[in-house]
Amino acid sequence: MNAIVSLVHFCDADGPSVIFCTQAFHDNAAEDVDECFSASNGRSSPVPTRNVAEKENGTLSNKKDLSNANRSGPASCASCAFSLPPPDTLSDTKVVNYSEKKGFKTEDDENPLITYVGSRYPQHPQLYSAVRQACVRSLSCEFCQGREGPVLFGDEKNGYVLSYMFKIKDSQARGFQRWYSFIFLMTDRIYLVASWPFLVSKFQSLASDLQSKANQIFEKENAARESRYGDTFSRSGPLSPSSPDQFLRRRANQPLRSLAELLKAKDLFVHIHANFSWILKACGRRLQERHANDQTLFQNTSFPSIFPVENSVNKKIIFNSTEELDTRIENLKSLQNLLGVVNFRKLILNFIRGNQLIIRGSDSKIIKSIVSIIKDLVPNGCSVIENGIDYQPLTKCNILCISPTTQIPNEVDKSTFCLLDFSSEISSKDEQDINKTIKFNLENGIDELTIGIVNVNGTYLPSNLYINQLSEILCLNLSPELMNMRLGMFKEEWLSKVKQYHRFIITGANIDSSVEKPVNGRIINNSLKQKELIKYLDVSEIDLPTLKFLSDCLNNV
Amino acid sequence: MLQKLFRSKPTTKHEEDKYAQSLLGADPWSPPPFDANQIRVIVCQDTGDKAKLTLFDSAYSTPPNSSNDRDHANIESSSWSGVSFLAGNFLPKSSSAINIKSSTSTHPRIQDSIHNNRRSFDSVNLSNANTLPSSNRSPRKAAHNIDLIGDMMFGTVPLSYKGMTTKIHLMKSPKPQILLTKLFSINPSDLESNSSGRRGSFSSTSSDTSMSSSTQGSVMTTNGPRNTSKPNSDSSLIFFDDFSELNDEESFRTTNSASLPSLFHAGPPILGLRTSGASITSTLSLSTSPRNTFTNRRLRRFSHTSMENGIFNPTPLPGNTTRLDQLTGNQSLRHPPRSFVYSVGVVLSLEDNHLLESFVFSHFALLENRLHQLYSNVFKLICHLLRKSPASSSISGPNSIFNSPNRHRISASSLSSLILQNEPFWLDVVTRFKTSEPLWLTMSTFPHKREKLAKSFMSELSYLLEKYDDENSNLYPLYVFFISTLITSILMYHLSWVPTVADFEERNGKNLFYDPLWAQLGDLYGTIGTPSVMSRTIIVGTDENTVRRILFILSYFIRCNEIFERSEDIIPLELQLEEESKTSSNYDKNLLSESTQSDGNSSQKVEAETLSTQNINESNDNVSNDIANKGDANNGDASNDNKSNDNKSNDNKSNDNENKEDTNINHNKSHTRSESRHKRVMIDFPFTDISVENFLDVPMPKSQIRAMVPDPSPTVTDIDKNATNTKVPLSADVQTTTDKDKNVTNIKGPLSADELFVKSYGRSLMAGYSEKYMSDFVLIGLPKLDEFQDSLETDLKNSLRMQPFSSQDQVSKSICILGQLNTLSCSILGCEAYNGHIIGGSPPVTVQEENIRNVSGYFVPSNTKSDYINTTLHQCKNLYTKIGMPAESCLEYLEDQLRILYHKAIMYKNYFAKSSPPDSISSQYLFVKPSKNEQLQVNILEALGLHESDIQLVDAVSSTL
Repeated sequence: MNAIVSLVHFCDADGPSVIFCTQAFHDNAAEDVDECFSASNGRSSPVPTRNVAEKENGTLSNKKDLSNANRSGPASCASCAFSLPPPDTLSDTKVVNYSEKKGFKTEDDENPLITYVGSRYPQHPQLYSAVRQACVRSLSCEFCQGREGPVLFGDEKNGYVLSYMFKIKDSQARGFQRWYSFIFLMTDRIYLVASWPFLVSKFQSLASDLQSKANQIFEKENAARESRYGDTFSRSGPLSPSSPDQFLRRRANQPLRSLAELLKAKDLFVHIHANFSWILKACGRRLQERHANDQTLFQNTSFPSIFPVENSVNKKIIFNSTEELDTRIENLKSLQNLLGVVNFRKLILNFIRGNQLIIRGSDSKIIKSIVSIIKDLVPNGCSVIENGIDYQPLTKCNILCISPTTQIPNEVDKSTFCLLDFSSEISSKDEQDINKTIKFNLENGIDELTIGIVNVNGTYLPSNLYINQLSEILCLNLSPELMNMRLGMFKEEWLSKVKQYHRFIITGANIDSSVEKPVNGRIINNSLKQKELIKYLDVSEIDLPTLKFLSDCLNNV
Repeated sequence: MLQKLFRSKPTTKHEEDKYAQSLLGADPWSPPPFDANQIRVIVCQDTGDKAKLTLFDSAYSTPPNSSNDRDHANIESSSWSGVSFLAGNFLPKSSSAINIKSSTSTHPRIQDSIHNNRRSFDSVNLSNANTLPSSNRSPRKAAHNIDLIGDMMFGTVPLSYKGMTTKIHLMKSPKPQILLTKLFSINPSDLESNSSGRRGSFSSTSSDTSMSSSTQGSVMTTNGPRNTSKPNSDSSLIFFDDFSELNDEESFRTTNSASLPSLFHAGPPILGLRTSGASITSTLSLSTSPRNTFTNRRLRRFSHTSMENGIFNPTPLPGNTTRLDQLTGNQSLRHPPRSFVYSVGVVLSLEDNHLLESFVFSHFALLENRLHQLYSNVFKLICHLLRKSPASSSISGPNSIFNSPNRHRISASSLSSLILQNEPFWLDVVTRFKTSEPLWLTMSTFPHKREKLAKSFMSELSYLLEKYDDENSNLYPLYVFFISTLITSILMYHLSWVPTVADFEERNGKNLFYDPLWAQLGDLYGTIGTPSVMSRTIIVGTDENTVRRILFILSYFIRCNEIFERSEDIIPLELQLEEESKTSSNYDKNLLSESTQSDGNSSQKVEAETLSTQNINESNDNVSNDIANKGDANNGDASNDNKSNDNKSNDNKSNDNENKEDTNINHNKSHTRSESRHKRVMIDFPFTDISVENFLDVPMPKSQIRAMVPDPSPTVTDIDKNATNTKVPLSADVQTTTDKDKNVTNIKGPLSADELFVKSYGRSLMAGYSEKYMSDFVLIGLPKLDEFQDSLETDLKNSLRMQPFSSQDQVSKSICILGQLNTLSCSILGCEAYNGHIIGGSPPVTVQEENIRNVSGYFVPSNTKSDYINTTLHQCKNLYTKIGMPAESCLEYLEDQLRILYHKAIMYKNYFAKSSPPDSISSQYLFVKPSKNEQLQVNILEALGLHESDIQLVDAVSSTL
């Protein structure tokens, strides 16, 4: 909470005076803000940057200011005194340095970064004057019905204050009453007003707590006085001085008791500080906004966001050595460059239609990078065997990496896997060649033209939408970073379609038939619907295996 | 198809009404009674003695329609203590001075120039007796405790501070009332309106003239020329300069002939845009990091309001009113020889209406803005009168200028008309209780309502798209994409949907103590982009049911975060320590319990509670965890963490389990932590010496959490309705635990809609379908706009000064999306401030030009839909109606597409950041096509896979990054 809460008092001798203040300090606030602003624009932060040395010491940032804590203010009479509990109530070890104690400190056990510091005056001179001003206005300027209860006032110079005034019975005081107020000082006017109901209720109960203690003591003193003086004085008031003269004489010699004395509570300010700290804490967390996110909104039904779009956007692929650059494939585009458009399309096509991808070769760097690039195309559910010793069927893995010597059994249907073979001889001479070309061989699997073609202006073109879109994107003249973003979007677009398809499949049996009556029984109806579905999803029928494959990947998650 | 889809739809008109209404108000509720008598507006002057001079008191301002009334009022007012001089003459003056034309059925409005009325007092009195409209307001019988109010307003001791003071008082007797006060002073320097310093400093607002005229001139609804001519626009043109510039009587005549609505935006110093002051916010440089908007705005607020480093910058008043800033230096602080203190105040009678009380405190930003408008008018008027007075010193006593019959009459009449004009607002703002439930907010807060609401949304969306957005339809050849266009506009301006689709990275927001209500308000108005645009939407149509349906759909796209209120009580330290002391012999009992202690019984009882409460508190580390648990698993009350998770539904098992595990871990951790901490306390308590700082360590008192509002768990009735919902309501859990844990017995049931309504802006600014215009709404449906257009324009202009809503120093543009059902057209009304800081610099302008450019109104027919949005919406519709996909699944698809759009915007921004010098990226005025290289445009469209029609939308979204 960005606020100072304090107890102020109208002293007969000194007028309005500040007795005690508690303020919260957020240890990481400045860093958060710094980070934010340096990240966003590099401008200097509104909050002065912390002294690094201080941070390293692990102490409160305001340490240097704490010297202000106990400086003598204008009002230093006993009646306005703030007091620590006497040393005899402390355990022996704590009495050491007792005279140097300035106040109290409370850690927020639920948030170790916040510390509440209580002392007579605020830590900063600017704040001192604001609190002082608030105190004066609260006790001698503002009018409050019955002089008890809340008032809010403030301006753009002195800040905004909620003041809760109350009176405490004191048998020695003029009129047997003394005037106090809890004041809550903030710079944020709107926030302060919004906190009014909370603050008023808490101040009210704290005040009535003090009042009831005072009342009991007042009664006790009253009774004691009565028994001492008999009935004579009781008529003119139980504790009233016998004459104005007497009143003045006493006052001249001896100020009124401090609040702690008055309430006979040595630890009164511990109590008050604890309450103030708690009020600051509870007021700060009373209202909280919960960030509404569409992903949490549909958590019951939706898959968690699978594509690490942000990661791919933010991931900077930087290679430090040119050596690595040569032997690794950075991204889809370089894979396409490596394989050539036709081979690239075939490889990807086989993969995203659910065929097995077998990569055979000895250069593990290249193979690993290819695997990771291709794997990125689908939701994380695709299974990969990176160092396969022998052949594994499609049911075991989608991508299989095997050594050059491993053979694929002949009985495996050649249309169900696509083999990318780097095992062709790579001479040592080639390796030293800067312009070395990686030799490879792509075989088996399916061909684009076999799965569907479309007639465009008399030319027959492959019509797999996924591949076509991907190729188009790769043709764009974009920087690597933008290309990554674009590909991330491409994946997300497909994921969105796949999610619908997936939902269609799993809920297919339950789809409300009242919307559209089954035509020829459920199965036909569903297949008709499936056609419609992919139409509405802007997908061609040729892409159906792709949807199925991606949907399976989704399932694996 | 459509018939099948809406087979269940009621057919009769009555049923249809009921149906449409049920869409928006799932929980029907009636507003607490509130009438005009509960609002009292007072303007006072401090004359230096005890009695305050009442310049205006709405308790006496009822426009009388018979001499009896007047006499009655006179008698009553003369009984005021010490302030009778004005009041005694007030009403006759008031009635004579103004001719009220009923431009609307409820708003009296000044029509004629005061000039006529000044000819002769007597004749005016005679002539006016019959010209006043009959008022349907009954004479007020408020408690005229003006002395008390005067003391509260001005305080008992005059202050040295001469800037504006804000005050709030609670009056307990005779009946509970809240008094909101703005105290201000008028210095002689304020009267020197021609002084260059003043002129210059107010240049930001002095051009209201041109704004109003240009707006009025250019604003045309698309259904042909407006019928309501604007006879006053010319005079209003002159009017605004008058107050600051002209001194002759002629000018004042013109002044008063101005239509009152215009008066309200005629900004005096007060409504000036913030042009000075330490500002760190005016430049928000390009950053592509997502979520910057969301967190930056809040971080900035936090840092602005922090005092920890000794920086003390109280938040500026609406529009930054301090003339301190505007006058060169701090002159006005130097006690000018004579300055007169005035106050404007509003008394709201609570009448035991707790909701109203909550409303006032939670919606103070809106109330305050209105109070400032009132103030600014009063200020101008008084300045004008003082200026005209030969000896301005005479204002300070009963023999003030007001005593001259003529002047007195002027002031009274003008004030009363000003305030009467303002007053309906107060009623509006407080009685706007017929609000709907915003779809997005309800869905995000109450998980158990999602399924049903998603179905309603998809049904309505499909219906509206079929009817008003059909590509095959020949019915509306001119405008077939009404819904797509409307939603495109909403997404362009009400940008708060963007953070909801962005990948949310939970910042360490625990330490950011900004005002969540403030954040929510800004979100609702969509002021999260750069430059900051404040947006609202009106759907106009006589077909109430359809308008309601449209509003229902739109409330899904206008989004804000839910604000949760946690009520907690302190567990006194003494009790905690006492409990601990049972096991600790070290503890010195005298220390905290020497003073009077409550009786032993109760302390023991509480002690038991304390013990059990600790578990709760320890695991309640932060509210979002609580809420997340509650919201997603419906089992989240932290006190039940150790209970079985049988309640969890099957379809989100994995999530639930994760959640649960997390919670348990947290719980255990914190429990351990608390134990160890307690141990430490036992040994070391009470005071741990902090060697470095010499502060005695005091433990933080524990909390007892009573309730969380709103409670996202379903109520019992919800369960009954939704037999398929297997989730067990939280309240049932609570019931079972109450026997064991007394401390949770206080948990209240879920709040009713009206209770939620007053808690935050999320539900109060979506006004539903209303017969008349209401200020400050975000979304509203109206039968027609014509007669409310003045009010709308005024609001638009005023909102340019609503600095506190914005993420930046100022709102640079204020717009209203106007969807007209009758013509199926969509347009943007708006006004724009040009003197804001524009990155890259604004072109130099001459002084005269500046006045014109400062604020200008415009009207843009927005008949371009985004193809991307259009396609998405129709895809959703088809998935729902043709395929029969579950509604939630369709919504998910919609959200996916929005998220993709957001990513496109990121790329869009990055693209231009890469391909053009930074300073050309600056001013993205949404109506001017960004002046970017055309080739770049083509390239980016191709790269993003977007159409040209999408570019404005993407541009707008990228402004939030």
